[in-house]
Amino acid sequence: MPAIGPSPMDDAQLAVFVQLICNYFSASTRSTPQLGSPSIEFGTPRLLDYTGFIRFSGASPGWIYISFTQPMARTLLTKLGEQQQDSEMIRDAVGEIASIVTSNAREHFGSSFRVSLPIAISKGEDLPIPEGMPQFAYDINWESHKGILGIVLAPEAAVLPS
Amino acid sequence: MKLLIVDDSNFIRRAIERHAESFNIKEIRTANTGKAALRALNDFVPDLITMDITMPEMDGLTCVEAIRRVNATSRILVISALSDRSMAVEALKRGANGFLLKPFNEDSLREAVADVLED
Repeated sequence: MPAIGPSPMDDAQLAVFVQLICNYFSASTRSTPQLGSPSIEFGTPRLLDYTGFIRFSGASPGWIYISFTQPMARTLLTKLGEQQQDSEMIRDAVGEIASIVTSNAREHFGSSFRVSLPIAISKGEDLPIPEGMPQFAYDINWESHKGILGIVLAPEAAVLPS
Repeated sequence: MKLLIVDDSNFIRRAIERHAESFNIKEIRTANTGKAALRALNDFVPDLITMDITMPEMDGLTCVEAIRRVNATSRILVISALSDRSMAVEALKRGANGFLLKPFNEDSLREAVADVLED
């Protein structure tokens, strides 16, 4: 019987998002981050001060989140020439960056890959995604700051080690 | 030259505005939805419109189509992160004059604006 439901996301597909977050920083700030190996997690995502979430659908549905500390977000805004660096601006920026990185993946995943509008939260606010989902979390090392790129997969879409 | 920036993100609107100030643009207005853009055009005829695609209420492609029903002269540059070629083709089909992929920087925006205005 053929499999029903989402197909799994493999290493090469996960690497697309790693490349796209590097592209974002490189294109907009000319300073490329380093990303480590992913940790595989199941509990509540490790979030920093500000996080942008995007839901994506298609063959392997799930959520992307990008999480920054406040100093990292402010350094990024400064590099972009943005002087308004209050909480509202940082939330808007992390949501938009998550949207850009995820939307850029359409080139790799095709037009069935659709993305939601971003949802941005500050630390301590309710998560806009179900808890306990399998996720791959990459540390983003950039300009002496640490951020997180998270790829949360709907359970059927995850390929996890035995 | 007059510019209307349409994007639901204030972060992006302000980035375009900052870059545009060095492009000899004299008057800049902004709109955060497609519907707000259509309202703005009631009393403002820009030379250039930058248009996001993914927005609440009315997406950018629908807005481009609506603008073209009443305004054939303003140049429209769609600026979006949706990176498949079909999206750019669709934008041009609806009446846009150019397509720029996010993320952009001052140089890529300047080049795209010049292309759209010279076309």
